[in-house]
Amino acid sequence: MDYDDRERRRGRRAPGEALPDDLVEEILLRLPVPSIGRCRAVCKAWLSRTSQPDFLRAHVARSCPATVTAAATVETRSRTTTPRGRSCTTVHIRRLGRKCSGAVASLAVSFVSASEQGRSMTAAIGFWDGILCATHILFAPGRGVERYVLCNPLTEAYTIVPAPATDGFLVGGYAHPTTSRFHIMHANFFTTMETFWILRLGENSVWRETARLSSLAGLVGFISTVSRGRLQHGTGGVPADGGLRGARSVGRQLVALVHDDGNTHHPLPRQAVRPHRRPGANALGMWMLEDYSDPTSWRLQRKIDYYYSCGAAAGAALDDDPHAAAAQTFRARFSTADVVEVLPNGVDDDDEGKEILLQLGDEEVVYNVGRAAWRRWGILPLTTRRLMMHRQCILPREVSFGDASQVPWEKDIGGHSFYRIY
Amino acid sequence: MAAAAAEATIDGGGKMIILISADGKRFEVTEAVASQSQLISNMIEDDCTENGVRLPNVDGDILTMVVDYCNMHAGDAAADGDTTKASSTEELKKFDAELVQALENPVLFKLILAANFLNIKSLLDMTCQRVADMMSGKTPEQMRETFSIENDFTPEEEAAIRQENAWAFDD
Repeated sequence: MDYDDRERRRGRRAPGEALPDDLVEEILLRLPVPSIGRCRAVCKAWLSRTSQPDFLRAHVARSCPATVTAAATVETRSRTTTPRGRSCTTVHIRRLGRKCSGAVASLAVSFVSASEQGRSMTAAIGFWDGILCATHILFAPGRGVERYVLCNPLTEAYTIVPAPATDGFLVGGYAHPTTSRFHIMHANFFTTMETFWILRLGENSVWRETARLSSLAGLVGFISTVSRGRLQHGTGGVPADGGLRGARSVGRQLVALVHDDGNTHHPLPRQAVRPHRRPGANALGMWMLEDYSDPTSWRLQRKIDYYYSCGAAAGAALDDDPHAAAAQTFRARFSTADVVEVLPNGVDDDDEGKEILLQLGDEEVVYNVGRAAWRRWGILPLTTRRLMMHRQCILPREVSFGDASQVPWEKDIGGHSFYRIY
Repeated sequence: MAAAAAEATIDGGGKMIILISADGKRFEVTEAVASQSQLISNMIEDDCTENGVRLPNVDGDILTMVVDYCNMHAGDAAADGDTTKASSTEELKKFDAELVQALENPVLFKLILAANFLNIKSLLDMTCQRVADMMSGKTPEQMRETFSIENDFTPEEEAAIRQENAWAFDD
């Protein structure tokens, strides 16, 4: 791996001069993201080449099926005092874990609101395809989730878009498999019609309604009682998926995890079914959008039994049936889960196959899709969320958010960026 | 002379082709092996391989590696006929890894040039990936050394670029 260049330089002709530009580019395209950043400091030609949108698109396309490359905790502190007494939320991103690359070392992003403290709040929702997604909420009668704030902490590009004029919240985002344009998804689970809305950032962006999970559920002969779910963007084609369908799409799929009605046929073996167990709502449904271009192609992949060890203390509340009590605890915690992530190579990036990470309160649990088994992963302080970077995103601002892209309001020396939400 | 040799056949019945390196070394390979090179494959279609294929850009020692690689990979390229050369995926992986692992930069670059000239996509991919793997983790200074690039930034310009891409520098 390591080799010493000096010795050869003495005797022989410089080898690099022999490589034409197109071959150098072939090599640069294969570099990991942090190396691309360093390449820019090599010479003017390399700086220019590695900054071209064409190059970046090609690089992203090549690294699409990349594994989880960085994990970070985000501490959201609302009402931090700012000089002008405004509401400000700061997200600190720290590297975690042993296998993380150097792309995210330590970053801070602050969202500064126009209104006074206590009148509004910006809350980080999640990280999808390297983009930090937050929601801006106004505390006033008839107001609520007003805007979504999206930010790429690496390139510092950000954009603000209005939420659709409907109840609901941001459930996920993804860079389009071919155009690299960022899309966000909003879902309304508060009515019986579970509707998803998708917005493409940039030119001519309008929220469009895409799929009704309920009508699809009818198709499969199965009505899901969705109280809360999250759409996740993972990569497909993981061998551990076994019989999972949809691998024909280009390796990227949308996965939805929703509460499921337990009355229907359950494919997984159950133990200890108790006579007075409440019917329904005791499993999660894992849905996958089979064909990206067909919003009606949502298919139920499997049902996932609850993680019954969740919140052991809650068993006391319904002491006649600890199993049911545990189920209820899980249901409640899943409904307010801050982190639901699908990780194609497992949470530790160690070929465990596809895993789903849930942060339920302060407890992190992991579902391994291949082995159909839950395990406990860790405990995090309640103020901290684990955010996974699905893939490093080096797209410059004009590519990821189109013409909706903006630059930070202020930046300090420590890499702390401030964004104005007015 | 060469024409006679070029028309020689082996027991498998495949037509043989002579490849001639820049320094005059000759390599006899089957059509199936040689046509992994898109360049030679085109020449075979155009019927202009009779007198041997001269490769003025490729040294003998590099061509030895290319021929070894093509011999090894002939099986997976030709899905239909000649399976005698087919090797298991495991063996191929091991062979590929050993081939590039042992190489140092000047030779590796020459191999990239040869793979590019002969248009052997899998070999080009593998060798470029190898260089990229060796570059990852290197500083800009080390990259300049590897590619013999002169730094044409002023110190101020370089400092500004490092500042802009600071996320790439703090490991």
